[in-house]
Amino acid sequence: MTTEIQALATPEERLATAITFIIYLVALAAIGVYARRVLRKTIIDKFIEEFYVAGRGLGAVVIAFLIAAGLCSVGTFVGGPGLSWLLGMPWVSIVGCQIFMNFAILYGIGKKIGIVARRIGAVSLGDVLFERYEQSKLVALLYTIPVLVFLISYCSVQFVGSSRIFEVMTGWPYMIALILSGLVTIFYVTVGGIRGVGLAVVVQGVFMTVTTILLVAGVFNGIFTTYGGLVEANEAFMKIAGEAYLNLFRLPPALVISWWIIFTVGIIALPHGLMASLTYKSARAMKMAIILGSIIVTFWTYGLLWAGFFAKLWFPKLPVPDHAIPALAMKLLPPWFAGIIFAGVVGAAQSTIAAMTILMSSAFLQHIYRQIIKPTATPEELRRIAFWTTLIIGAVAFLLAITQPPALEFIIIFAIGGLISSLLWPLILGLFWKRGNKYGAIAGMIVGFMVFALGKSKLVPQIVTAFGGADPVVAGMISSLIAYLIVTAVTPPPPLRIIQIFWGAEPPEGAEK
Amino acid sequence: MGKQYVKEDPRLKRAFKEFIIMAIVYYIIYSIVYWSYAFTYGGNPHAIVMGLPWWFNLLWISLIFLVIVCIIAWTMKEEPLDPWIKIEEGEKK
Repeated sequence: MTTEIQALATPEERLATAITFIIYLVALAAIGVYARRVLRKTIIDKFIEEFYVAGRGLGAVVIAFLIAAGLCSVGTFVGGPGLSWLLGMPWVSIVGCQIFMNFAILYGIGKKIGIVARRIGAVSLGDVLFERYEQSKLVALLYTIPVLVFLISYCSVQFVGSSRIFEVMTGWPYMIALILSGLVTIFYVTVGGIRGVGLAVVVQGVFMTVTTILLVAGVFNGIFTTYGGLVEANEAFMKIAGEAYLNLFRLPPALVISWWIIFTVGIIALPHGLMASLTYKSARAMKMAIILGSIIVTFWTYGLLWAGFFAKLWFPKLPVPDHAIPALAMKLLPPWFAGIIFAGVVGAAQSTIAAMTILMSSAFLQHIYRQIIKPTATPEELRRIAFWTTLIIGAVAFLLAITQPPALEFIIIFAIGGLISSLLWPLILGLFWKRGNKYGAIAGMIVGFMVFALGKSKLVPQIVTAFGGADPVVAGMISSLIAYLIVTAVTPPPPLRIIQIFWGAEPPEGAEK
Repeated sequence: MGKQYVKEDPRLKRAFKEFIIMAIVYYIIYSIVYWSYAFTYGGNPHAIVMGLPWWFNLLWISLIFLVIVCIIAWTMKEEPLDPWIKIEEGEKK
């Protein structure tokens, strides 16, 4: 089928696709060089803050894209449309709810994290949790270890997914795609830090938006030309794919609702999305990022999910659902446009990889190196470690992508579900409930993750059946909340110093004003 | 340990109110409206609503809420982000 999709374009057209993509990669590399120059001008004492949170100076457009493109990965641009093609309307309806992620993150908790981060000098979400939970190293480790273990695998899957699409669209070998896009990504993240990531993500966001515009235009033009209208296309769906394709109730309601919870409530516990809360420069930038980001994500989500959904009309059979978007692009659009679409898809992967690499690097530096390995590290040492940590994390993800281990997809499900199950309540209750303490947080993190893992791995199938077939994330979230509340109730409240930092108007004694 | 009292930062108080507003608008009202519509028509693939296949109207529901979300965000108070701010008398209450 790969060759069937390639047959939709001539070798010259495929070359045009590859050239468009290479121009895009050169632009990204240039951004890395520019961000490096900014970093070099930074005084050494401020280097870590500049590298990980861009001196808290990012504007509205960068913040909007940092959240949107960081969370809308290959999943939204390839896997999601592929599942729309496969599952039809139930999947489209469920994922349609993720559109207000910028609103949930920035309006819901962004202001509190932004102000508190400035008080404590936080450069990662782990710093906020560490400070909130009485500088508990165990809390920091319970955050850091899953982030490091799972997100590296997640990054690899992004590399693998985008390289496979390249293979399909250009006919070039998988390894060339991986080397081209992988090395450029590692370069601009390592040398440019979050500023490089932020600038690149704007370019990627523009490509992702143009990709969506082109696909939507191509698809609707195809529908009206071929079928005459949406009602007629609806009838055609039933003939081609069967009535079940449009029936919301083909999936168990408990599963539908649990996926809904993951895509709405769960999304605010994903650290790579929350990272933007640490970096915005002003309340106005945050406000505009909510508006801009909500518009962009709504457009991406509906445009791409429906493109995958409508692909069924032209491609009733695809051996790999992930080929829905490249197949549409090759069939409906001219080759230069197909190259832009490919850049948009790879941009979705790269932006997520970049955000996660910075996140993992900051987690390692702050909670493993500075707290455990060498608490007395000098700013110059930290600068070197930040560089090497980022490079090594990117390289490990890249090497994993070369081997393409089959279990990666499973690890991704574990990563997202595990992070939501363990982090959601310690984060929300830590920010908004004064009584919450470190014991409750530790219990909530451990119990939430364990219940999710036991349910997901089917070691304890009752975890799924007890909730009517819902995804184990729901059981994980509920058990995490219960554990947090019970353990907090029987242990002492946090010290006054914590309340002053997270709620107070005046700094605790000894703190810098 | 007795109750601990601190002078609260009004910006952080508003942050909590905003979290509640977000949860009500997004997690509760949007969910109820969206799923009420989806569960009403989602079982009938032939359903035509307002001259369109039932599923296409999910887009209009989302766009209406997009406007609401943008208005809420637009009216958000632009707080200073300094770590510690001097509280005006009127804001203490």
